[in-house]
Amino acid sequence: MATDKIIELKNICKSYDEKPVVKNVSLAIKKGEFVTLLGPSGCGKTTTLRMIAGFEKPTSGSVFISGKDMTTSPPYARNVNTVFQNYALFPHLNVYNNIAFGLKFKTVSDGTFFTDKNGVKYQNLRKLTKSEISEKVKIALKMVDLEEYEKRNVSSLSGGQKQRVAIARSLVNEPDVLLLDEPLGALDLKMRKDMQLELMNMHKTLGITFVYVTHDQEEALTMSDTIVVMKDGVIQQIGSPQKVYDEPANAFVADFIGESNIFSGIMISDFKVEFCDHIFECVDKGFKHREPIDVIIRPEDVRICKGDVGMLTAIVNSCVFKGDHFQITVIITGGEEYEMLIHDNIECKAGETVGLNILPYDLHIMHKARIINEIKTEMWDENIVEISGGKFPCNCDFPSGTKVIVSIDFDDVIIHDDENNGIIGGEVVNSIYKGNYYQCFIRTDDYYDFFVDTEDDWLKGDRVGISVNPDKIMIRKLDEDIDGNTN
Amino acid sequence: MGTQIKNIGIKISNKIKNFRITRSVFAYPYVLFLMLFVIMPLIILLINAFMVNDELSLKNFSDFMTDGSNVQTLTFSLLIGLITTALCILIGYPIAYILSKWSSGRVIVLLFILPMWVNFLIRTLSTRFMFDAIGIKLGVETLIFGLVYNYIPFMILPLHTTLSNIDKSYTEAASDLGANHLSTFFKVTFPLSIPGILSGVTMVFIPTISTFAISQFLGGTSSYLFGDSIERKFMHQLYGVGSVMSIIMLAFVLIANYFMRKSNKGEASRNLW
Repeated sequence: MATDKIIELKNICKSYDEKPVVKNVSLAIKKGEFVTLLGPSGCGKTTTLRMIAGFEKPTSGSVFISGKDMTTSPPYARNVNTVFQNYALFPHLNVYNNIAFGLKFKTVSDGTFFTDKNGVKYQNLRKLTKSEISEKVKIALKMVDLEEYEKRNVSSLSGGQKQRVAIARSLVNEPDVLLLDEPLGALDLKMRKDMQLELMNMHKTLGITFVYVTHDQEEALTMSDTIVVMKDGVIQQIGSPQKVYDEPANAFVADFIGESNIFSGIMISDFKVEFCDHIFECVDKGFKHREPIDVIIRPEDVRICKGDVGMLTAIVNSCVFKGDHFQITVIITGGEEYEMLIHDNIECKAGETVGLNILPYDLHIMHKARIINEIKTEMWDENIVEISGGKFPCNCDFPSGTKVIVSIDFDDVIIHDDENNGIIGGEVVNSIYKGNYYQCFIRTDDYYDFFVDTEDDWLKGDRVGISVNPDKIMIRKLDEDIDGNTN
Repeated sequence: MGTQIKNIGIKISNKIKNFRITRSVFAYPYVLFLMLFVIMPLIILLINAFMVNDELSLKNFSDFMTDGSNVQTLTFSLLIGLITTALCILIGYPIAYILSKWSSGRVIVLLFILPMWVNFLIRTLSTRFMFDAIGIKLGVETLIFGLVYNYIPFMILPLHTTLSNIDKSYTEAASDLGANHLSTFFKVTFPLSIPGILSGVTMVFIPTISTFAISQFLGGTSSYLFGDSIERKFMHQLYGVGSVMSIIMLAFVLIANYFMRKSNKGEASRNLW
């Protein structure tokens, strides 16, 4: 079995200056697979790739390559090659010498053997000859369609050509695994599409394992056998493109991959879910009675029928022609108003009333990551509780130093545009639209993520202030016996 | 008469009215400075070198050439310059390399430049007293020590800048392609740092061949550089030969500069600091 897995990451953690970047990542990559690490910037995907390449040592955990523990091996001892985001072609060497660079260090068996004192037989190694190197470089150049460019200076090449040279330089070493760090990021759209196809062809013909890092979900869906979705250094889901798209593991994956409608709902019973003030049939069971859940509906899974004969009645807000479909936004009526995005081939007019139908198996129901913000902390003083280094006034007369658990509902957290108006500051790390409100994640300076339900869409990466109405802070004494779930 | 004066008055007032503070105005003081202290001395130098008794003549040149000791001093100076430069590279490169690897490198580079803020005469004199105290006889060795000590910051600084500006991905790529630390250094880091070496050489070699005070303090009686020779000529009021020697010196500076520029494809100025 060990030979089947070319790369295995076991409980990899990586921190920079105490700040965790990759958290307990375990991943097995099969030989010959095209695996994509997908996630927003800063999710730890590049760091993970760099640990496979050997540029970074994991803080803890181990890296196995071809069944051998290579956690602390330097990059030159690993039979993996990297295509860098900025290409990293050596500016002092021409195209030929760039590609030949790795070959000059390569050794091959010279056909003779050597037996040591213990009777173990070794192959005698020799370096590649000039003509062998030249032949290999020519084949590599031919593979990337740059036969005439041998003598060219790398600075005279276009972005696409540099990219090809970088790929040729890596592949010429015949690595077990090719690592690609957002290799198409700097190319224009047309070139990117061409290179995607070429990379897929190379993968097919060479049979080398590809590990590809990108933040472009479309690229990941097109090219990969397996997609690994990452967020904040944690793997969210591993699966085939179809699986990740059709059955996202959580609201983040659904929101990140493709477009989706995400609503908060409640499981009434097995096979019955309530959201948008309606009860729907679904195919999920095994949830707790009235458990709050997230419902994800892909825009193309909603069917519009003219006249109000559907499961839901809605008013068309806008309708935009997108070539192969119309992109329609509707407002669901009959109770509170929810917004929904639909892809369909029926043209609608704004203001028109339509019926919406959704099939049970197109409702993707997911456990909520968290239903309330819960923080283990202690009282600063009577009526003041400390949260993430800030002093929050509250209605609670526990004495100073009492260990407590603070609970705050998502919609009781108040976000301030000016960081100084809040009691503590934080960074908006994510914002997901849920039909008629946004769910934002605000990360405080001590890395606690506040989940906040808000009317406004806060810009990712912005600094904001957080405060809470004292009446809305629920405090209970931390019982030492009970292991309170804080994160 | 009256109207003429009036006209002139109007002209002047017009000039004053039309005077605008444009960007070029700010360059005037510098142009004046350049004329007074660079162009003028050069002209005087040329006049001194080629005019003998108010006639154009090459007598000063032949005087210089026929005196064997002059040519000997020149070759000695060039030799000392080469040795100093080589030593500065040998000592400065490893320091610059190590410093570029450290995150606190910039601060330590500052420590290396710190002595530069002490006047070099004071520094050189102190070095001499130090040698006297230890009992080392002044000679070529002490002279070279003084030169290296004085000029090594000029080698470390451009090298440190170049080395720390080399993109980390180049060394990573080399390592990724199978080069160990040693091969990575010789095949990637060193070739990419050559512009830094060249600007270091320009900053060390040329000033060393023209220096004179350091050799007087540290060179003892035997070692005597071209710069000293020029100084002595002027002290003895041999302006003609002195000027000729200055021009030869200038020629060397220009030649050296030309070669540096050529091999560096104009990158020297960018990588200086």
